[in-house]
Amino acid sequence: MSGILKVGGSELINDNGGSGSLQWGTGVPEGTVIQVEHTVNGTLDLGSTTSDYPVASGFKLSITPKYQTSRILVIFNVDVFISGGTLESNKIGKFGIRLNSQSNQTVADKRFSGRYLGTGGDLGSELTLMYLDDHDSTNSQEYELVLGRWSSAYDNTITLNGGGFGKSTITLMEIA
Amino acid sequence: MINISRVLYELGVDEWVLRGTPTSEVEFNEMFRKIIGRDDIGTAIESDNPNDFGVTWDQIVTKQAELQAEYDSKQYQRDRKYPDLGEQFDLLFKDINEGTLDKTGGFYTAIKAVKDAHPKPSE
Repeated sequence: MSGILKVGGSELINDNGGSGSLQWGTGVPEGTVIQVEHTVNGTLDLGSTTSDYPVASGFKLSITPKYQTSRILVIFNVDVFISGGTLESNKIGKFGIRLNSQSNQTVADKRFSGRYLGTGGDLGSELTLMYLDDHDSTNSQEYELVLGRWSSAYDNTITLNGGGFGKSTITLMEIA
Repeated sequence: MINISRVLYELGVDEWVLRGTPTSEVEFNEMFRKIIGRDDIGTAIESDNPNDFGVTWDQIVTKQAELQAEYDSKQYQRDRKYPDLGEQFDLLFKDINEGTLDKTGGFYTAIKAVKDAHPKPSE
């Protein structure tokens, strides 16, 4: 009995060299989710900085693509917190995704800001960053959250899972 | 507990990244990095040399204890839940209207009850 299922001449599924576990073949249809990696981190004050964007947070996840031509949908859902600062009413930070396996390129930058009438107030919320990565490789790909102040004009502290509360997640989906 | 970020802020230490919550000098030296520059694509260059940190673990522990003591000393203020302003104004109006704007009036009695329930430590 063959270990390969073909449709229209294309290999859709095989049994991974006879191991018995099924996996997508070389003819997997476009848009198929090949694999998913996911992590949840509820460590408080997971990463903090008082430096300008981008600074590596240490919150990261890797995936090894099965196909060179596939793409990785990268989704960070993070709990962000901005505290301190001497500038009245301005609280502003910046967050993004760093492609650690691709020359540390930073993508999907987003701003998180708010106004507070005073100098002592803190801001907290969640932020979602998404990026579709054409990795063009079957080597392990690592994605890391980077964060920091909007610019040196601001003196706030930017924190991941800050203010005594927070849970952040990373989801990586390899898509054919 | 006052967090380390706040302590560093109060100590005037800037341009750093902290990855976690250290509870010892060893952990602090592992988790803390001083930003000493930028590379050609703008990414922060970090130093893991404690001589670059601009602060020591002992200084952090000392300042943290000081800030915690200050915070704790004001706990009575946070515990005091006064009637909302509308209710206070109503009590004041009634006291004026009834000629009891003194220590026998509703306003004084209500506020005094809250203060007595959560006295200032030195009182």
